[in-house]
Amino acid sequence: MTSGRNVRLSGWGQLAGGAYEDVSIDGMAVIRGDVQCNQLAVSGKCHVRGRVRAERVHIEGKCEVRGDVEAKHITVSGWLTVNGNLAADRLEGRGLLRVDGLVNADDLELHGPGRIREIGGGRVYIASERPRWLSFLPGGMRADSIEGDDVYLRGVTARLVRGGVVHADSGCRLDRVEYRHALHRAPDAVIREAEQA
Amino acid sequence: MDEDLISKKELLDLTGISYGQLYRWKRKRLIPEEWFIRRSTFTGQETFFPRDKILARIELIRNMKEDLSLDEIAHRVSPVPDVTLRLLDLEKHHIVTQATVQWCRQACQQEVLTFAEALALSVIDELIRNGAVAWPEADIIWQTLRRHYERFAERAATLVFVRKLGTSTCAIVAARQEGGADIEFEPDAHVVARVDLTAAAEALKLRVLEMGDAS
Repeated sequence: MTSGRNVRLSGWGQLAGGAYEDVSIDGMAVIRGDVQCNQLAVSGKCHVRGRVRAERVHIEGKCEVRGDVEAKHITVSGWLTVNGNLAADRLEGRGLLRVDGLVNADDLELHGPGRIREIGGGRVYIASERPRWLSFLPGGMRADSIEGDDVYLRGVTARLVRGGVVHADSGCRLDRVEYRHALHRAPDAVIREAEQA
Repeated sequence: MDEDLISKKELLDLTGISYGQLYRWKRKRLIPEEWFIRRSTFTGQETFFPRDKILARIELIRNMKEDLSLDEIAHRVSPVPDVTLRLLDLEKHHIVTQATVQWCRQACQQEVLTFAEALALSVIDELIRNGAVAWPEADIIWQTLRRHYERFAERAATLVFVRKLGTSTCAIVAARQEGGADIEFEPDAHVVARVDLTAAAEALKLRVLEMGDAS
């Protein structure tokens, strides 16, 4: 899938969509269409007016993508907003993640706050609580539905959680949990209904 | 609309696959996006699948999984394989006749074809051989399929070739259910040929895969 050239943008710039090798953005950039590349690294601010397809995506700054994001490995330590779906073999997040569609990952580990409509995958690990002294701030992870084989949640608000094994740790507010094998819940996790299905 | 649907939960119970597998197969495009049908139920939004299609597909994936990687399976089940085919190979493996290959060289001046283009050639080949269309009309089919086939790949589709008072045209018609296109024309227009594109694409795909295995 790698064809084309390396691009390094620092300062302010625009980039046409297309196929690249490695794209790295240090300043502020607009990518004006779909990009396909080996690696997309953003440490500044980037707006993609299309889809992203890459082997690796690494966001340290702020990045907003209008279409879908698809990569083998995605790491977010900054702020990533995706208007479409996000798919990865492995997704690691320590920043803020907002996805309007489905996040589909084999192995997902998120430590920051965010808003995601749907999460699905194999291992889903979300630890999104704030320190107690910051608890007056809005935060945590909110999702409409979360599905996975091995689901661990802390500080997560969700309407529906389905999984093989579900751990609902402190700070969770879950409307409904459906589990196949086991449900472990912390005393202060709020679960309105739970069913073994 | 009311084809037999199966809920995600029922599917997992019935087949014993896990959420992880289902999402992975979706991500690798082993299961087409169109099969994930969202409906609202009393518990909120729920995902359903066309029952027969999804069960057959999961069976297929399981059988192939033994000796093929997921990417290879995706390649096989994809309705429009992402391949480039050389005219030379199509001729060598008797997928289309020499006359059609020559027509393509002259009229389209292409040596390398996409899957949709190869499908167009195989349809042209068949219609020329059974005498339904003539060489000057081949270009209509070529243009129609290469431009629009991809959009119809997931659905049951038929190519309808019509002639009226010496002029000819063709169209791709998608059927909601299997069993051919439902379309009628004015009395003066004659439907010269109907080609089941789904079957034609399936046949071509098999032959292309055999070709790949042989070489």
